[in-house]
Amino acid sequence: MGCVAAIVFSSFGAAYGTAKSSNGFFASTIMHPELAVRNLIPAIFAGILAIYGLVAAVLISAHIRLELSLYTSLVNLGSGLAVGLSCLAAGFALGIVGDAGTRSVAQQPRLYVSMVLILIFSEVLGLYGLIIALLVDSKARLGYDKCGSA
Amino acid sequence: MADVELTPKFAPFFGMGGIAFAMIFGCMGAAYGTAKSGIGIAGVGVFRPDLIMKSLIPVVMSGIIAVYALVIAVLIAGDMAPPPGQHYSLFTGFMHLACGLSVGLTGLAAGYAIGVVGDMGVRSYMQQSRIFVGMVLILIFGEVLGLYGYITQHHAIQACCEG
Repeated sequence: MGCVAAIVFSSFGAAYGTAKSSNGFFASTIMHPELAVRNLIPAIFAGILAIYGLVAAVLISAHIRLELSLYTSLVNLGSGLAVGLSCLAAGFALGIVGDAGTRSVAQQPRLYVSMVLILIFSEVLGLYGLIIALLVDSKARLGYDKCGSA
Repeated sequence: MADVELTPKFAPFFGMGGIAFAMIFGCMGAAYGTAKSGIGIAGVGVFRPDLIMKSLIPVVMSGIIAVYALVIAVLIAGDMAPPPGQHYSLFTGFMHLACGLSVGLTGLAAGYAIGVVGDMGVRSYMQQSRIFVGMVLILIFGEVLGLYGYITQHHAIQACCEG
């Protein structure tokens, strides 16, 4: 279930981020097509959130086996929830910032640097979740011998 | 011999649930994507009928989401058989439930993204034809959400459940 949580919630976050920021991208590119490539940055950041979830899901699925101690499985659930829900939050932030940011950059190009800065701050929310998930995941190996010789 | 404790009678419930969730949520996502981008295409078609064929791309991508869910559901269903032929352990049941839920819910997410992007994108494409490349790029980003879910679960099913 940790594996499921990792990929599902981070996908929801990435989807919301992509969808909401693309609204702004399309609205701004109608009038200013020269800004198109620069305004794709929020959508790319949202896609990176999904990759965080994918990495965590692959790592968690490597721990799954037939006889699994409760310790290891709860650790997996925890790391999956950590990365998934923090990527969900980051996706929400990225979507709203990307939408407003791209619309504003069309009117004032000097805002681009600050938009990217705010996007990076939103992205690290998901990165913190991935770091915690990796850290917790490395502790999961301690539970392998707890299952006994059943 | 299979351990009876590990293969309880209710274990196939989870496997069947995985099949159901995969198809249900995958189709919900594909339906939202098709519907929302269809609204945009209908709006575009009134003013620029020559753009309709190129604007159908979001609808095609939503269909692909449903195909991911279909493939995973068929893979899970292929692993299941009534008791004399198959010892279905609780582990396998949970594995199938997780796979179905993952693919279904990531498909739901991807369909939502494709719908919103497709709707807004085709409306903007009508006004600014240079937007087409950007729209397709963002649609691909939305599509890979479903693809990630499909790949992880496909690999998990093949690797873990040949027994």
